[in-house]
Amino acid sequence: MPDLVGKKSDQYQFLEQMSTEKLKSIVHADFESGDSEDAANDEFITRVMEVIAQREEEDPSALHFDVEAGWKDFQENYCPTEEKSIHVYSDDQQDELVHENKIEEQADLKYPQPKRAGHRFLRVITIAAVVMCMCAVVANAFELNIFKMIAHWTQDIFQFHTEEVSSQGAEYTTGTELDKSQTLQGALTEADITQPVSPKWIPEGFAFSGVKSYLDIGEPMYTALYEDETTDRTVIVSVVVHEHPQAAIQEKDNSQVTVYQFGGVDHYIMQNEDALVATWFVDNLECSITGNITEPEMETMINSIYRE
Amino acid sequence: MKKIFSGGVSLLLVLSFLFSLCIPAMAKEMSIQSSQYLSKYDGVVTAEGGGTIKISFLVIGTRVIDEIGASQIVVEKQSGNYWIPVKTYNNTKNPELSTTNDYSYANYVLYNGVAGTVYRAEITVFGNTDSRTFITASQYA
Repeated sequence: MPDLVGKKSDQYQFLEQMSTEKLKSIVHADFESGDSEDAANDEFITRVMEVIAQREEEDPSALHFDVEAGWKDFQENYCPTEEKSIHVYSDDQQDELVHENKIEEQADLKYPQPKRAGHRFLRVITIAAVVMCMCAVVANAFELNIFKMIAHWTQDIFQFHTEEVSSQGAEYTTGTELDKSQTLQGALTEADITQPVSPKWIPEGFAFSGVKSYLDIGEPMYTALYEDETTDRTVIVSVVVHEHPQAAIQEKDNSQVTVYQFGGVDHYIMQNEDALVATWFVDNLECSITGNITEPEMETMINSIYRE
Repeated sequence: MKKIFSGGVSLLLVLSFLFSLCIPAMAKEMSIQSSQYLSKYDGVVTAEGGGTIKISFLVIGTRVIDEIGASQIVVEKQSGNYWIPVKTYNNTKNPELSTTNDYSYANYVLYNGVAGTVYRAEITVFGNTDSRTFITASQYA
């Protein structure tokens, strides 16, 4: 079997002919290049360093490193004391940390690496997603709309818009002011429902027809009917008392839903064929007004709910 | 390995966030449409105790119409991943499910089920010639 080690040693015999300064410049150049993936190069540099070390050992005038003084200097100036220490690492962690630092140092010397930038971006996205999830959970718990966005949709599209400026609605001098017996208020009060949900005004021509209470069903419902006999138009006011977090299905056509804010409540106004519908929630009460009326008339009816 | 795990967790979190936005929109299966006679409707299953469930419905019309109410209620019980019909009510045999010349209506039926079983109902409401079918939330008897 051939002596491979001896063969390789002979291969670098020429190093013995080179000056120590030249050898040091080779090592320096190799360090600057940062190329550590070539095994043959590593072997060559190792051999160069061995030659340098051998010469320094043989030369009594060469500057020798004082291990004791170096250790003392490290303890005094570099080693973290109890007061100064921030993190305590195990041996494995320290090795890992040193390795990471080396990698980062090399990365800083080289061009910016897209892979690392990608990881940073992914990290930022992950943190943002976690924060948003946590915010959404908290907001849901408190029934808050964190984005203050309003949903708008038609039959074809759905889109969120920024919060609209609330309108105060039109004020009519005509129309009919309703007393308590002509609204749902009486029936609701009997059921200990005190939130303001009953309109106290109806457009001109309409008259109170009656109130119905459906108390035996799973979620009680109250309805009031107002009719204009001359034009055969109707207005229906309803309140559904939900015991579970759910809502009824509201029919609508493909026209846009508008949000009318009044009394601190969002009222969603939409068209269903010939009927204009306003629907909204107050606590667990799902309220609606359905009728052959104009939007300003609807807004005035809504305003009257919150009037003292 | 660490990078794959980190990437997987990141993707999972982002997808969870996106799905959380979709959940409220899936609360009840429905298609947006308009009706000349129907305005609003709903149904709910509640437990009455001893295995009995109450299936309630409500319908609000756009005005006073000739006929309004529920034309059919199908009670379904959960069996694994399937829903099996166990009882059907209709307004032909159960006239109390609908009424005439009115603008709103609500009523209920009682079903003697098995305690601990999960039930739901497929309800068809109608107003004159328009009808809509929807499924309630499920409920333990």
